Amino acid sequence: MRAVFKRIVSGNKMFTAVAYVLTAVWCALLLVPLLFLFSSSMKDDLQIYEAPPKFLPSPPKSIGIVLDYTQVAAQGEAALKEALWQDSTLALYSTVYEINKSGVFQVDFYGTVGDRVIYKSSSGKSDLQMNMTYLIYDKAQVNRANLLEKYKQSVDQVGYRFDPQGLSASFDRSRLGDNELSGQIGDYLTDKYKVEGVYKGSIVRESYWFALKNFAGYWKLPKVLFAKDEMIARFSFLWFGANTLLVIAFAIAAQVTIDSLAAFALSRLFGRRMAKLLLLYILAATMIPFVAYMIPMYVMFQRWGLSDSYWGMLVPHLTAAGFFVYLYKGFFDKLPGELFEAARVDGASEMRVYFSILMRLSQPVTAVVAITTMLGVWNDFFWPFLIVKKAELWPLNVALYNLSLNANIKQNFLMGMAALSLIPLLIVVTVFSDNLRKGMVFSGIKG
Amino acid sequence: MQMKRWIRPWLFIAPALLSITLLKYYPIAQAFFMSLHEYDLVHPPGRFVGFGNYKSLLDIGFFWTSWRNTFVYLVLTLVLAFIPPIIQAVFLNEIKRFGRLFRSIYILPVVIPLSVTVILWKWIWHPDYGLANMITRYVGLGTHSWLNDLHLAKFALIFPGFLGGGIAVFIYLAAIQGIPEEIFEAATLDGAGKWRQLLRITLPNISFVIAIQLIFTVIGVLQILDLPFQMTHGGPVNSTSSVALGIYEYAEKNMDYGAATASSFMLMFVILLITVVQLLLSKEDTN
Repeated sequence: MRAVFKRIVSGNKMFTAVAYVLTAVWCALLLVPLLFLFSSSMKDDLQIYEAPPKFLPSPPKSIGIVLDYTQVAAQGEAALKEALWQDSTLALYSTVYEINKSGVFQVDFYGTVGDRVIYKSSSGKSDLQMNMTYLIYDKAQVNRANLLEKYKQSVDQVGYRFDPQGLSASFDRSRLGDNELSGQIGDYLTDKYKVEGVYKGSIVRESYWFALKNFAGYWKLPKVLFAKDEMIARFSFLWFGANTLLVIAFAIAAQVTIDSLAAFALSRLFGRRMAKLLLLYILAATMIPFVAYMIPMYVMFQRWGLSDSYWGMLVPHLTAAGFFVYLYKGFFDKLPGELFEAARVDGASEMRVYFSILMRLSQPVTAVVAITTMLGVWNDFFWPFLIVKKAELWPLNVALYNLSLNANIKQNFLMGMAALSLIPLLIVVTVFSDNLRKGMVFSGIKG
Repeated sequence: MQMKRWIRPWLFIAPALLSITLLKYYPIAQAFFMSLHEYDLVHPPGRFVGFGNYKSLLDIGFFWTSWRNTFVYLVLTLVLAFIPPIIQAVFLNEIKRFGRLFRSIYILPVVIPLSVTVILWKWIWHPDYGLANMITRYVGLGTHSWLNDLHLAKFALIFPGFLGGGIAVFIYLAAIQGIPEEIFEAATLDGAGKWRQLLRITLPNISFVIAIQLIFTVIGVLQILDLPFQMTHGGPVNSTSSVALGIYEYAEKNMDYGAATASSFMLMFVILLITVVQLLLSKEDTN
C-alpha cells in the first residue's frame, strides 16, 4: 500500500498535477488583491467602512422620488419651473444625506402633473457628494436654506429634462410607495425640507449596474480638486497619464539614440583599447545606486532651475544606460565586417551607415531597450516625486500617491481611482503580453 | 580632413560620455564633497568638517535602527519573496493548457504601479476594514494592527512579494527553457522521474541565473525607499525606516545635507562591497 502511494506521489503525473494546482492557486492568490480593489471601488462611502469587508456588496439601489405639481402648474410655467428646480435640488441631496443607509447609488427625481411626467433629473450619489463637498456647496450643512442658496448651480451641474406637455420618461406606477423607505422619504421632504410639490411616493430599484455610477464620481474628483489647473480640469486622470507617456516617450527616444550612437563608436570607430576603456567608464556608472546621488542631484537641479518643470523629470533620462550601450555594442560587434566595407566602398558616411544599416538591423535590440525603459519610467516614483510639486506636472504614480495623502478623500474613491488607472494597463497586458515578456526577460539580465 | 577623422568617433560617443559624467559621476563626486562639509545650501559648501558627518552618524540611534531595518527587509525578502518566482517558473514550464492565461496573470505585478499596490495593500492591512484581519480571524490567528504594529509592519510591507509573479518568473522560465532538451531526454531514458529531474537537472542548470537574481535582489533591497516611504513613511516609531529613507529624511526634514550624503556614501560602499563578495562567491561556485 505504502509503496503504491509512494509511486503515485513521486510519479510524473503527480508532478504535472502539482504544477497545475500550484500555478492555479498562486494565480488566484495574485488576483485576490486586484478583485478586492475592483470590488472596493464598486462600494459606496458607507459600504467601504463595513467590517468585516464583503467581497460582493449588497446590490446597489436607486431611489426614485415622485412629486406632483398639478396645483403649481396653475400658476404658470415660470413658477412651475422654479418650483421644480428647487424641489429637485432639495430631493436629490436630502435623500443622499437623510437616508443614512448603505447601498444608495443613484437618486431620480420625477415631477408629475396628473399622469404626465413633466420633469426628470437623475444623479449618482458620488456626483452629488462631490457637489456638496467641493463643487458647489463647499461642505455646507445639508438643510433647506443652504441647498436653496445655490440651487441654480446645482441644477446646471446635475442636468434635467423638462416639458410641460409631458416627457417620455416614466416609472413603474404599480410599485410606487411599495418599499420601507417611502414613508421616511415623504416625512423629511414635506416636514424638514418643505417641498412645494405633493409627495406621491418612492420607487426603489436594485441593480449592480448602478455601481458604475461611482466611476463618474471618481473621474470627476481630480477635476474638482485641481480645478485651477486647466488641463486637469479638462482631462482629469488622462492628464496624469499623458505626463507619464511624455516622460516614457522622451526616455525611449533619448536612450535609443544616445546609447546606440555610443555603441556604434565603440564597436566600429574606436581602436580596441580605447573602446575597452570607454566602455568601462560607461559600465562603471551603472554601479552607482540612485539613492547615493539623489540628494546632490536634487540640489543641483534646483540650482539649474529645473525643479518643478518637465525638464526636471526628463533630463535624468538623458543619462546613457551602460547596459543598453553594452547590448547595442554586442549586437553591432556580431554584424559581418563586409557590410561596413561595402558601405565604405560606396562612399557612405558614418552617419549613413549608422542610420541605414545599424538602426534598421538592430530593431530587436531597440525593442528591448524601449520596453525596459518604458517599464522603468512607468514604475519610477521617487525622483519625479522630489522634483515636481505642481499638480499639472505629476505623472500618474506621483498623482495617485499625492491623492492618497488627502484625508478628505474616502477610501472607495481612492480604490476607484487606482482601479481606473489600471484599466488601460490590463488591456495592454492582455494584448502585448508576449512582447512584454520577451523584452522583460532580456532586461532581467540587468535586473 | 585628418583632424576630422580623429574627432568623429568622439562626436558619436560625446552625448553618452557627457550625460554620464554630468548626471552620474559629477553628482556622486558632489555627494562626497558635501559629506565632508556642514553643508549650507545658501552659502555652499559651508564649514569643512572632514569625516565629522560620518562620525556623528555612527552616534545616532536612528542610523543604526535604519540599518537594522534594512537587513530585516533583506532577510524577509529572501525568505518571503525571492523563492516564489523560482517555484512558479518551474511549474509554469510544465504547463501546456491555459499557459497563456497563467503567464498573463504572472505578468500583472510588473505593470501595476507601486502607488496602486500601496493604496490597495494599505487597505488590505487596515485593522478594521481590511481583508487581512478578516482572514486571520477566520483561521484563528486573531486580529492585528499590521502596519501600525512595531513588529509586524516590516513583514506587512514585504508580504505582497510572496504572491510572486513579475519579471523574475519569466527570467527563470527563459533560463529553464534554455536548458538543452537532450539532457532531459537522456535522464528520462535512464529512468529518472520529473521530480528527480527537477532537483538534478533543472535547478543546477539555472543556479547561475538564481545567483545573478540574488545579487540584484540584495542590491535592490539595500536601496529600498519607495515602498516604506509610501506605505508607512518609516513609522511606527521608525520601525520601517530604511537607510535610503533615512537619507531622504536627513536632507528633507533636518536640512542636514552633510549627514544625508555621508549616509548615502556609506550605503554605496556597503552595496559595492556586498556585490563584489557575492560575485566572487558565485564565481568560485561555478568553478
